[in-house]
Amino acid sequence: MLLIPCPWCGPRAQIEFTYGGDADVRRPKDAMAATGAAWHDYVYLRDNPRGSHDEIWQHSAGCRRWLRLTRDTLTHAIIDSAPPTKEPPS
Amino acid sequence: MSQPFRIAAGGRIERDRTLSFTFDGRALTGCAGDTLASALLANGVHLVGRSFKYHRPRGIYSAGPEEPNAMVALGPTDTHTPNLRATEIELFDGLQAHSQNRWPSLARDVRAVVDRAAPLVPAGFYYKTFMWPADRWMTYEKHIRHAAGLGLASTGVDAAATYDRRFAHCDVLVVGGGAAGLTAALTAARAGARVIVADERPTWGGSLTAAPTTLDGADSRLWIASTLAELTERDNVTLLPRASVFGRYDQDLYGIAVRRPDGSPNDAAPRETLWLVRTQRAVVAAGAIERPLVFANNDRPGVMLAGAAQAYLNRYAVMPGRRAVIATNNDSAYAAARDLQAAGVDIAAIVDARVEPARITIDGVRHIPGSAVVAARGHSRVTGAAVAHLGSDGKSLDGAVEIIDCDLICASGGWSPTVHLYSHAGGKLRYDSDIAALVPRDELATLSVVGAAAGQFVLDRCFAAGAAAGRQAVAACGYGATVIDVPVCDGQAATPPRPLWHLPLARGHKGKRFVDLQADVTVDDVELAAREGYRSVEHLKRYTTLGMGTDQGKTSNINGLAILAETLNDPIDAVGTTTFRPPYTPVTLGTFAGRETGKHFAPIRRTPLHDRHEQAGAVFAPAGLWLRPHYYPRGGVDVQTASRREATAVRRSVGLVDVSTLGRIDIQGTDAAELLNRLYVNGWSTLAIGRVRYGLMLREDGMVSDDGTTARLAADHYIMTTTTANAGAVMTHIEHYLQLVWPDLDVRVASITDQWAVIAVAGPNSRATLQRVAGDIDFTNESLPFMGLAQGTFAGVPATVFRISFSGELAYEVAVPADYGPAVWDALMAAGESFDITPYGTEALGILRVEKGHFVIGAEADGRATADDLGLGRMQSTKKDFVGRRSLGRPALTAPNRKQLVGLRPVDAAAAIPAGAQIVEKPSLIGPVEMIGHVTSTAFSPEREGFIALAMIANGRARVGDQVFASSPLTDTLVQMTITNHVFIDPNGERLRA
Amino acid sequence: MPEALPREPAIRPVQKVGTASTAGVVLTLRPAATILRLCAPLDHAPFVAALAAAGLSLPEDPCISEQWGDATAFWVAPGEWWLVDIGATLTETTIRADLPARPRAIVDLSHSRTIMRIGGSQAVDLVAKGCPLDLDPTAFPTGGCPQSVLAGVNLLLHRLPANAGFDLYVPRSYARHLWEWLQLAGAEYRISVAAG
Repeated sequence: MLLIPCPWCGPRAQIEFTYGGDADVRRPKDAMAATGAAWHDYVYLRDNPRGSHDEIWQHSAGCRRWLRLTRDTLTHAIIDSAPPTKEPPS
Repeated sequence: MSQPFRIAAGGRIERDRTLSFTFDGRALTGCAGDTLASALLANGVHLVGRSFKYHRPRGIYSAGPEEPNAMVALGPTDTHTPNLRATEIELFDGLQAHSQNRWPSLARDVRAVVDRAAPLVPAGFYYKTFMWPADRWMTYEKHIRHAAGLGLASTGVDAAATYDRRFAHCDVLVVGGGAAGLTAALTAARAGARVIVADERPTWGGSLTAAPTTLDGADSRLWIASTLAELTERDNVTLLPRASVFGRYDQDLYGIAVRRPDGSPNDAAPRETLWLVRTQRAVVAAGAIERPLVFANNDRPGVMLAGAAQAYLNRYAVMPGRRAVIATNNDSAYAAARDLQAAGVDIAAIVDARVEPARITIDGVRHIPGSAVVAARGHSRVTGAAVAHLGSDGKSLDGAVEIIDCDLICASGGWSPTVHLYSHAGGKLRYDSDIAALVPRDELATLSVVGAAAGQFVLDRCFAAGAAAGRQAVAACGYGATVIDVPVCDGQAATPPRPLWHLPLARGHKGKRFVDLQADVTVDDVELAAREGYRSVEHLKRYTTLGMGTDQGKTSNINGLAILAETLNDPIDAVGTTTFRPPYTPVTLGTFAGRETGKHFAPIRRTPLHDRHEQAGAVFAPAGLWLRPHYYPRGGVDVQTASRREATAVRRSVGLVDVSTLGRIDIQGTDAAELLNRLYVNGWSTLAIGRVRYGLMLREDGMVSDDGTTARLAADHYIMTTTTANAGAVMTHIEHYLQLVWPDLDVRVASITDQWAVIAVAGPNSRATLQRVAGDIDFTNESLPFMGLAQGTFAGVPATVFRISFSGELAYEVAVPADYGPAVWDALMAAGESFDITPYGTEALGILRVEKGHFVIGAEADGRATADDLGLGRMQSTKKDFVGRRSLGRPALTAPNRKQLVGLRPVDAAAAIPAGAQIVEKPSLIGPVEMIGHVTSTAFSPEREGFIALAMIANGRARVGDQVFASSPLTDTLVQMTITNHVFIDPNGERLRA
Repeated sequence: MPEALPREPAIRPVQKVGTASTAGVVLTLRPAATILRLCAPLDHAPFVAALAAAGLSLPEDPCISEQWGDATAFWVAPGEWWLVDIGATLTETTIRADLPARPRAIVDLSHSRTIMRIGGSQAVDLVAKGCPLDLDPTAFPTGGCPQSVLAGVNLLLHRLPANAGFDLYVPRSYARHLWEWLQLAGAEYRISVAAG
């Protein structure tokens, strides 16, 4: 069971959270104008890296805020936790 | 008291407290403080079990959690706990234990014939022999499983057994309460850190209690007692005896199984508690495990680890035998010999593989250097030891074999540090040739290993390392330094051991040489596996089952690796090790289940009207976590009879149903309508205040995910209704879009499901019923039309009434703050009495909605259906974007042969429709046959006096009137059906607008 | 007058095990309170400042409560608070009238939570059986109001002053489950149930 730092509530047990997947999935701004490929990418395709991964989690049993968690999928080490508005590292 | 092997003085038992117990039905006694193993030995009982594969007689081999042999079933036969180690079971009065894997009895086990047929069952025998024909494996497996194995799971439920869970947090977790562990704990505690100390034994002191030890010139008991006194007194320290730290998990979470002392005065205490400890730092001082010597018949009862024999003597005042041969390759067995001799055991000889002398000498004992015990004599008990001189390579013998009579062989093959938790944390091992053992290779960030667990076998260095680790741990947690005086004690190193992974066989003294006693793996098995090409240690393990027993090879691991390395001519480091994984020791499933069993398996949600349903005799059914009335049997009738009566009441008069379980979400903000526009397929900008609209949600892939009504209470205030099952998911879905995708929308959402009690009143007499209840709401069609809402006082409480219908009848939903629900229910029941108002459950609800042709999420909308498939394509707005819209243009979603929602009626009006049937064109139960659709819901319709069904059928809307077959090979039924429109009653909706 | 209305709470406690002096845990059902969820506008700093200027300060640090007039304000999420009035005199209407700035939303949750009090010398031991929070006062001080999980139920825990234990704000539909669970899990502490 992971210990996940909620940017607001502090370190909490994983059972308080809901996993939301890849943090860098972005809904096309103008969905109707999106190309088929871009929409397909958004709906279906997800990265599954070995190592550092940016994910979204919801603190569902706490403040119910979604947060952006950087986690190592190999070691389960938690590298960073931030509000979702933070831009992904370039 | 007859415990013939109990010595007159010493030990840490309570001699005056005699406890009675039974083993295989035989009545015996022991003392408080005994383990089952020590009590059995005190009674001279050595034969305690039969081995896994060969059914060989086995005895007590160790004195701790590493025990490979002495596993018993504890408790009465039908509720016993199997495979517990006798070396860990604390004796209590009335204990019942049984031996395992023997039939008909321990002494006469008919399957022991396997032992004599052993050449026929080498490693991999089962794989090789029963592989073909492949389809027979299931047949063979049954018999193999019956013959091999350990204890059996109990068949009964032990109602008295409770298990529990405990979350805990600390700065420093110390694993092991011996010299190094207690020193680390005291150091950390004095610095003010929050400390938890866990030890698997009931008593503290670790190896200090297994041998007489002098600390600061006094008996080590004094130091242990004063250290414990201080730790106990400190508020910042939690001491956990009887606590097996079985696993280290992510972010320094440790799993600890804590046993209740049996016979605890507090009967309500759980039998075992799973502690989940989150710590900042861990100090692992878990000690070391002694290794067997691998000689012929080294598994005979009476062969025991030397350290175990010493522990039985010093902890429990038990003599494990009368005349002992000590077989060793290191110094530690000499201390055992010294203590055994002092207690009156006749030491026949010390057989040491080394030529150079040990640091300890014992007067008056025959010392045989450069030699080894090469075989044990005897069958169900040792009668002698065969001793021979070892060649310089350790792989051959020179000189004659001498037989020395004895009833006990104390063997020591060196010590293996207990590195399991270090390995769980990802630590790698290295081979230390000085001590012939695998030790931690690296420093880990949050876990340090000290004492014997780190390969440190000199006592004064264990104390120093414990203190250093304690200081380092608290410094990392931000506490100041502390000073601690470590006791003055023995600081001399032992003479190095002579690595001895297995012994050669002597002519005339053949026998199996067991590497892994629990899994019955021999030297020959390991060598055979290597010859057959299993060169990777991971393959060796799986092929031979080495280390795959419940003991995870605690005593066998390094001997097995070393034998493989020898066979391959590789250094031990190159062979590597298998990975240690949690749990370190077996943990009962009950401990993991904790309180989450029976009715507390998952939380149960009850509506505000639950008691009213109970009073009405409702039969409940789970709906997610909720309990909902399924039907009200009234006079004990079955579900069909009751639900048809309930459905008929709604169609003919009036019924009421508890719909408090539907999800309700409060939506407020200037962008509330915009949010709804984006979430639902249909438009919301035109919904007037005081009106309700039905909405449909998709996933981004275009499939229908949820539906429900949303009401507009004020300009920027809406209440959304979701399905019961999806309430949580829809809330998460909305929060996801609001927080991550459209954070600029000015809207706040809140779940108010628990705030309201909601009662649907349906049927032609529903309006008349509502009008009879005191209040100020006008229920006339003009004031409260279909899809309208009204707020006011109803039955004396503030209420919101929605005129919506799921049944297809004139219907209303009355929503009130939850605590008022029962009073409103009572008022409605009273008002409707003359209409015979009828509470109805989910079964009748299902009939009514199938009759009305309403799809539900999960049945018709099963995640593969679009709005158009369900006949609602025209609901979808073309003027706005909404979740899922972009996917609707994908070719597959507009393909001509998609399954569409239709109704079905049997051609033979009396025929029942099999639930879950496939729809086929041809009257054939035997495939292959093209399946053009499937039945999604069936019901007996009182209104249509026959069975009806909803189905998803390819191009179904264009096929109304066609005849097809509902095929259910599972129930061997085939029914001819006519495709109909999916609405079976009131297709124009006149009733609900009445 | 809410008192006059026919309320039926989720639990009707049955008094158990008499003497509270031997009980390690005392479990009490609290009277119904007014609970209003107050949501600040998108940009919530000016809203909080306006309220503070009017003497109605809201806690800005997460998971902390503050006195709020006669009521208590619990931080529950960024820009969101619960106003809890045990006296149940606060109403949505009076709040709206009293606020110096317009909130984005006020949601009445009064009937949605059942309030249980866990007191006694072993209150922490009982809560720790089902809740993963660090209950040490350094991590969870008096007045703290974190939301977490207890026995599978999402809830809010409020730590009371003077070692009086915790108030649990339990979603109503889970109340009976948790009430039964607490009594079973608390049996080893000789739990006493006070009639509410």
